[in-house]
Amino acid sequence: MTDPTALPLDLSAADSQGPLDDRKFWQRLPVKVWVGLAIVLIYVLIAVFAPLLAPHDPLAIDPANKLASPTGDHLLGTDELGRDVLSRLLYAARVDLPIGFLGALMPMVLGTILGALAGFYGRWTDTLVMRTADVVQAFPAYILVIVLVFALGQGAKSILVAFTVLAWVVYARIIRGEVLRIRDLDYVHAARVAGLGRLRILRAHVLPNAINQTLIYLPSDIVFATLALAAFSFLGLGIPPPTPEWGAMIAEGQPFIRTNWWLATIPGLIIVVFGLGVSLIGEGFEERLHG
Amino acid sequence: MSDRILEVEDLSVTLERGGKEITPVQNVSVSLGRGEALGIAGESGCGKSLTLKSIIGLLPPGAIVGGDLRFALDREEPISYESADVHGHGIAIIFQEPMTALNPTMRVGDLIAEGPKIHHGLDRREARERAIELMRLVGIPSPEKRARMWPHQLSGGLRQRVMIAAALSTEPKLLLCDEPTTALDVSIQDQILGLLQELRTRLDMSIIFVSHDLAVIGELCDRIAIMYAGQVVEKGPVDEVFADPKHPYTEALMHSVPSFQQTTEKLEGIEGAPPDPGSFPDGCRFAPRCRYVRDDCATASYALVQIGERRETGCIHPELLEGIGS
Amino acid sequence: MGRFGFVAKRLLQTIPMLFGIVLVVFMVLQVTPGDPARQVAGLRASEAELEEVREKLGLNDSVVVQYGRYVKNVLQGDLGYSYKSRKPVAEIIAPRIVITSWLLVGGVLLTLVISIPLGVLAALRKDRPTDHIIRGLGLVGLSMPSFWTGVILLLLVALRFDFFPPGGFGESTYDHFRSIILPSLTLAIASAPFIIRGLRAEMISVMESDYISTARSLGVSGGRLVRRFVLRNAAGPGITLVALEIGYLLFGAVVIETTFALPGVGQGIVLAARARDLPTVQGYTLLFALVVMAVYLLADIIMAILDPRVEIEA
Repeated sequence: MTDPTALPLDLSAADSQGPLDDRKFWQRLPVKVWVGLAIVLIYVLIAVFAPLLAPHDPLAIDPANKLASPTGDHLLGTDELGRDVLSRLLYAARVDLPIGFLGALMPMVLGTILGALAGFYGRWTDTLVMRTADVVQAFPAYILVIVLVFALGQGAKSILVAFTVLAWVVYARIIRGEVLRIRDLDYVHAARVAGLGRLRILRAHVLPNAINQTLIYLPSDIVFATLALAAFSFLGLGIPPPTPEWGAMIAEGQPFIRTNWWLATIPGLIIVVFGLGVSLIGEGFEERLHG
Repeated sequence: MSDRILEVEDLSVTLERGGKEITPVQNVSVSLGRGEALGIAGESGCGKSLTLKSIIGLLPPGAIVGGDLRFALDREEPISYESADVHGHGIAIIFQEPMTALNPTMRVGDLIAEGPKIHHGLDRREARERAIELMRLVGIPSPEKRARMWPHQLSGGLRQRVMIAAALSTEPKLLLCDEPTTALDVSIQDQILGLLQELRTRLDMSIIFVSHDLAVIGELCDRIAIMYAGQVVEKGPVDEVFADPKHPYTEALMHSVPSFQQTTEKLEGIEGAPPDPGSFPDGCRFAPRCRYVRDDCATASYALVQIGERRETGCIHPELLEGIGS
Repeated sequence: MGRFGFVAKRLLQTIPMLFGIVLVVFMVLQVTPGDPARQVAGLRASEAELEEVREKLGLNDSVVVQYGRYVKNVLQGDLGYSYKSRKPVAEIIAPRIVITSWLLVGGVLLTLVISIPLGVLAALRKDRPTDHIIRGLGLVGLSMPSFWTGVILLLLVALRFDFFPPGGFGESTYDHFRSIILPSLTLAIASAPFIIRGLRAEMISVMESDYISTARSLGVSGGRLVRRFVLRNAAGPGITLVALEIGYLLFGAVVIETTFALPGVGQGIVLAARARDLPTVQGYTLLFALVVMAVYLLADIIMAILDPRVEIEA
């Protein structure tokens, strides 16, 4: 009655939705992603056009007019050196945003390269990369950041290096997993993919999936990098003065919270809104990908 | 006095998915006699598992159940019940994956003793003895020793036997089986089927057995209901349906044999994949994949039509079927 | 036997890890720019004086010898001498540990008080308004720099109510208690979003698991279901969740102690780092690493006690 060689009807497919179509993916993004993107876009525009938007030179000291309350000329008043707070806030976006983005992108690039190498070449390359990953993950990350920043010296560069050294692991694991998955398909179902070049498989199968997965981690890493930069600057171990930076501005304003409360609170609010915007994008993507 | 134990009438299940309401189970009506075994067959996502879970009230929160469920615990007319009423009272269920169905942080003997403790007021010691007794009943060797083991320490076959013992601990009149042999090796599958068959006659228990494997259903069940896209498309005695299917989908199912490798290849003559519950086609839901499709299939409304004495089909053109010999 | 074996094995694994951490910290700080001898001897020291200091500190020995000596000293409780104050590093650190312990204990307690009800509630009300509100608050919490949260609490609470001092640790136990509440709350606000999120996911996965369906089908319900089926399965991952946060909590302590002028180890490492006092930074780092390893170990042991499956993974 039955022919054992007959191809079966699909009795095992649990996922009836099929792979995500690229265009559909963007169309069906939840509202929160668009809200998040709008927030981030505003911040990016502020960073780019800070010189046009800022009413004053963010570094210009005016000892005669220090700790001034908000006026028409200084919309958010001045700090303890008489510098215009609004201008400093706007210019700070040019420090915090690039480091926030780079602090997340650099580990992603490093992790993608190392993960792909480990996946494609296997053997000792794989062993080397993945053992290193194990060791890095076993360490208490935040404390290593302090040590690295201490060793490399104050400044944006050492903070970026510290992030990169610590955060590449997650990305490497994702990419390696994807590459291995496709490699297996490559061998087992060789006939089915005949005619498709390796590169094309990589582009068609590895990248879309891997990018979808890394997109989930990227936003939270941007928030993490931005907050960490602000924290190190607050502690006096990050961006050295007089460069305006949100975390450092909070530290500078804290002694004056009784009289000039806005000095310490507004920079924090600006960080929160930025972090929220980035998080909304991340949440939205995650919802979209995992239902 | 009635020989009916369960009547499911016009059952529908509505869930929310991605902000949209879907109805993966619709117009399902089946009934079951005392001591009878009914098989429900169909592909993954056809709604057979949801149907089973509606009967015992284990649907995910937010699911809306329509239609009428009636159950008779004693030899009376089946009466309507609220889903949770039957938990531990007359209906029990066993699942496909015994590893995940057993509480990983509870010794198997304690799990089997839960039912007797709650429902029969047994104390710790009596419940433990009852558990060992049940383990012996389902053929677990040295039950005293195994009662003290954790689920992960048992083999797949023994785990499924533990699951059956736990189900039996509430003394059910109806046992629901959700693909209980799919995850097991072939030789273990046969043992579990044999055990279910034996328990059914020994305990005068009715069984609903859900599976995509027609051979397994053929071995155990008296009657079969074939489901496709959330609806029952054919019902009848197992041997009659197998000998002479009256729905093109039944025929297609019988042609398909799961090979050793689970691939997604399709049966010759059947295009496409089963439809997603979010977008069931109008008219006959199988029409887009049917090799016998006619123009009026696209507008046919769903109804099961009596064919012969004990058979029903949802196909409006059963006369077109060429039979399984083709 | 199996579970004791696991714990023993886990303990043994910790030892090479500790040596590894000491080595990495030592290596990283070796490449730190700056001349330690110059720091100790002062800017006006002559080359001869510098050489003398180098000889005294053993800086002329090879890195391997220096590492060996460091490890040997550490094992004897000797963490070296501060370049700045010339006092033994261990003496500098020890009194600060108590204060940070207060902060961590208070912070973890408040974290649990906030996260457990909210996490469970969000899980039980999954995808309903309550859940959305809790998750939204979580997102805001995740975006808040903890030092800023601290400043806000100072502004809104400490400046209005004399009960809460605006900083410092005070003298009496009563003062300590008053001083630690706002910093602990700050720490809790920073860490609760992670715990809430993890707890919610864990509760949902337990409640959706097949064995809960099994239990319900057997007629187990209400408190019995939660006690015997949900809690024991959610407890292990819950503890791991909190344990994995320890690194983050320590970093939180660093920032929050600076905000509230609490003289704990967190403030200590910042002061040492600002002063570029290498032996002291090394000492603090070692302490932090030890704490993290100890907490991970403890969490694994508790897991092993709670989860019968652990023995096969060992």
